[in-house]
Amino acid sequence: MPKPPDKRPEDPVAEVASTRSRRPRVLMANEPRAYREGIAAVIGQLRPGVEIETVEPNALDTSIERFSPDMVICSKATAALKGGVRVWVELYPDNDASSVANIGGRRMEYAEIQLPDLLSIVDKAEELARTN
Amino acid sequence: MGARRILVANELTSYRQTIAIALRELRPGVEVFEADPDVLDGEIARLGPDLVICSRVTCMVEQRVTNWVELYPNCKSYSTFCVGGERRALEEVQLSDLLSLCASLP
Repeated sequence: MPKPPDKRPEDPVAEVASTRSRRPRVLMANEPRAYREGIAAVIGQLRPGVEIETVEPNALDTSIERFSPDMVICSKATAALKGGVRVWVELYPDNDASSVANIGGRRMEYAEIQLPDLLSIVDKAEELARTN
Repeated sequence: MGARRILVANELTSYRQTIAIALRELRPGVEVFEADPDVLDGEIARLGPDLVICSRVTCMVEQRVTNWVELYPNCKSYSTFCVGGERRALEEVQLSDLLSLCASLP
């Protein structure tokens, strides 16, 4: 009698562990460029467990689809971002000091966001990524 | 010669903090100071920096600092680098441009 197809992974424990251990991903798409690269460099230094990618703002939507980030930092939030990413920061959208963040559905407004705020949001994105 | 002093005084707090930390982490041989743009002139007088990075060059910067970067003034895409008194405009400055300048200050 032929064996039924076995759709179970060869090592389910390893597969679950692998899924849970994926490094949290942060996509940077804010402008101007030197600040985008600077924030990416700082997160890379201070949060070495995080995988970071930087893209031009006009590549934000396609990069969300390709990279599946756990968090996005951008200058202008798009519909694809709001619908597809749980944690995002709209950094200085009007070139003034105010910024907006969404952290797992909770909206936060910052009159003058600081770098430690951004790092704290990265930590929350990491927590959310690991618990889901 | 002591460590070169870099005064970071560009606008928008997280951007200023980012540039300062990036320079400290990636150019550990330089001494990096942060200042609010409102107190830039006073900090130049106090610190005597070798390089100033700011969003708006003041008369004090032009007269007292040999090397400076006016980074994205009015949130425009261009910046002005003044190195040893010689000015040049750059479009779309990259972090590596700032790091290179810090490593090769005259």
